[in-house]
Amino acid sequence: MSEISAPDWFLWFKNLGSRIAEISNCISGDKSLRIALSCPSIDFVQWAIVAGALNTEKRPAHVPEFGETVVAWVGSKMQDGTLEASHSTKAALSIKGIGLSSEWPIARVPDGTPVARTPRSLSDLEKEELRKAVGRNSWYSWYTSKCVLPVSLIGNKGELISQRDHLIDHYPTWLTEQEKSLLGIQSGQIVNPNKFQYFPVSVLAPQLADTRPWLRQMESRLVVSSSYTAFRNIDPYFQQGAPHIQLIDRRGWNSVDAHAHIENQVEVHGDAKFELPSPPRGVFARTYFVDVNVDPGHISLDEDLEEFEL
Amino acid sequence: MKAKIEVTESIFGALSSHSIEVRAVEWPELLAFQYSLAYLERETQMVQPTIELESIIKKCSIIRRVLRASPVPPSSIHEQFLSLFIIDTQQIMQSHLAQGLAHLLIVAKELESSVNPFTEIAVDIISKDPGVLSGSGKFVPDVCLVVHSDAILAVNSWLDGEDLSASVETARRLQKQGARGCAVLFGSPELHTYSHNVDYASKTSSWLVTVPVAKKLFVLLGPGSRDYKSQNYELWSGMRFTDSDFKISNVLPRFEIDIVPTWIPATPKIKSNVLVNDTMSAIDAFPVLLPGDKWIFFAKENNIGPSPLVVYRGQENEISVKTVGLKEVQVGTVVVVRSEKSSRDFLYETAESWIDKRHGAGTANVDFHFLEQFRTGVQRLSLDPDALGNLTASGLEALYARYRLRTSWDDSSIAPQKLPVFKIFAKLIEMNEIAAAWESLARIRVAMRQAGHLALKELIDQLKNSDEWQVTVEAGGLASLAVENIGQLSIGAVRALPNEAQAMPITMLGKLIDADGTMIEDEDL
Repeated sequence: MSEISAPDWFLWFKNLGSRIAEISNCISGDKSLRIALSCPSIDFVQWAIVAGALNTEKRPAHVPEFGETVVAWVGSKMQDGTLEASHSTKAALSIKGIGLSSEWPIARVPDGTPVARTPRSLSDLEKEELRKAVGRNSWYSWYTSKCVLPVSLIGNKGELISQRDHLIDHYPTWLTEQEKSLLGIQSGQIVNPNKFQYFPVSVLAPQLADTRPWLRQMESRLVVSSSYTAFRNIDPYFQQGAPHIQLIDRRGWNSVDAHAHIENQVEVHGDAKFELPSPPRGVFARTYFVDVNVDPGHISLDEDLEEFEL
Repeated sequence: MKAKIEVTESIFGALSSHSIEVRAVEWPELLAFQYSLAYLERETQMVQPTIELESIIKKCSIIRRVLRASPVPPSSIHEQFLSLFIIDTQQIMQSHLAQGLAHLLIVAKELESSVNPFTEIAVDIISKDPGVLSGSGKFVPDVCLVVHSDAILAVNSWLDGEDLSASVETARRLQKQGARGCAVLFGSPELHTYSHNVDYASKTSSWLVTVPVAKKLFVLLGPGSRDYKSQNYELWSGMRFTDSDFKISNVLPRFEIDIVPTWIPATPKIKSNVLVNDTMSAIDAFPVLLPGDKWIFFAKENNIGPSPLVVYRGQENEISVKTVGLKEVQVGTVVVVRSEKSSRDFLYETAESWIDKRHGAGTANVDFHFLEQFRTGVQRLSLDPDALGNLTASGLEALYARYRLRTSWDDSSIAPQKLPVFKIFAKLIEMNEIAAAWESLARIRVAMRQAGHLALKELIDQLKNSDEWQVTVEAGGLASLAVENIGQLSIGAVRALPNEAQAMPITMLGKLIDADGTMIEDEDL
């Protein structure tokens, strides 16, 4: 395995991603952590955080019950199915008639999720890379644990994908083989909200969650908003139970508003006083907790107007 | 433009050794030009100026933007100055703005032949730049001059003429670039952004000093720049590099004395032969205790009466003074106070001779006759219980009318600067020859401003030439200094600032008062 050689700032953000992703996701009624980071530049910072977050072992907060739709690696592909009790003594669970152990990574697929989500198969090349990176034949269990609880990266999709490609192509030594195998997926489907839970990372535009309550109710291991526009415009119910990291570029045109917005959030919710590892010079942090509430589901414009008129 | 990791890497890389050096320079000619231009801008805010005047103001504001945020010598933008003088000003010269324009053109001439203090600093920094090796094996400059967008062409052309090499950027273009070895920001960060609110401008431009645009950043402050205080650039409290990360040179610190808290005497009740019982001339003033149990009062609002004149002193004994708001004065701050007679004589005398010299002998007599007539008329009006009602009935807001009536007792105030407002007062006090009076008062305003500059210069020179007053002040005493053409001044450190407002005539503000409440005359000092 090749040696990692990355600058300190990149390693710090990676370490931060790991530390924050380790925090268990919350359920309704709990308080969920938000971390705002004011940075001299945020380009590529988000990918360091994503890479770090994917290094952690984490399970979804919501444990699926029998009869619920779940996503899992079944039949050599990522696909949705109904969770059932296994009739076999060798397996605890069963999806699509295939027996699975109780430790098999699965995650709930909320009601309202498109029913006909096309299963995802991996190409032979992808499988080979994963086998090499993980170092064993049972790479799919490891890989699935990342996919069913992915990292959500919110922002400008084109720009973010371009930065990821630049990082992997020009600075491969900044990432481990495993990180590269998780980040380097060339499928355009990682920006498709319908394919959430099928990839280790999903890159989403902030408005996508507005009309998709099921996407808001899915779980991420970490939500990273790559700009003020991203965290200002994303639905407040979006994956509330996961910790969120909100990045502010001090060089950005809306930097003053972004900092003021966060100060306001800290004032409203109270300072979380969450201890972060000592940040690099020029990086400043604010932390606060938000209440996790039940998602109201889809509200149509008509319903919205009626409420407004009342 | 697609982001490059090299840019992010250079920014984080520069953070480890980033330092800021702030230098302040004086440029009296640009300062005078800015004041003069600001006057015309203010005067033409409400009234549409003529095309010619508008053109002159526009050209001057470009000159201002270029010079306060770039290293170019004024002579190198000769054509821009020349364009001011070819405009036909005949029509403007017949309006009430004639004096203002005349003054602007005089100071513009002086500015053109002056030296930009940024030039020498820039040349020094550029010539010390070792450069960096580029990909093609050539040394390229590693100094970046950050200038106003209006100055780009002039700076490049100046560099060519001087055979100097540096990259020239605007703040906006720099926003997407990586950190260099060295950058020079001409003017405070606020001058590189667009906002009329100075606090907001500090915030929007804060990235220039909180994101390393270079390992070493020089911030050069001149006329028009905001004083450099790190907290102005904090978007979150505490968001700054440690104090050791930047040093300020050439910015004089306040001259302050450690005051040991002791017994504070009771604030004196003012005894004055001026009517105090009239509500128009009496204002709420706050006391400031000086050594020797002497007192001085200032209005809390900045625009009423004189403001405290505080002393700045550098390590090399450089001296400067500056008027500040009362809220900026603290216990220990050294202030300069004028006594009764030393007040305005110099200003009036200088203004008179300036008017006579420019407009013919005898003009000043006529002008000051109008001023006297207007001032005493409004003072009489302020004693009339119906005055406020009459003024508001004429269309003035009550608050403003009250302010104008009060300031008629303030010898630093001349007359309303808006013609319609002036006409309302002139009519109420039954003043004749309104048009001629208006012109005279405009002339006095310009002349007084000119005299003010000279007085300040005289005061600073005298303070620099004498050390004795400093010994007295440092020992906790009240020093007395006779300044030629200005008169007797007292200098001392503030001992206490009791928060006890007291109503008093505006004429008593800013003057030395004894413990028994009487005003101290020159001969008592």
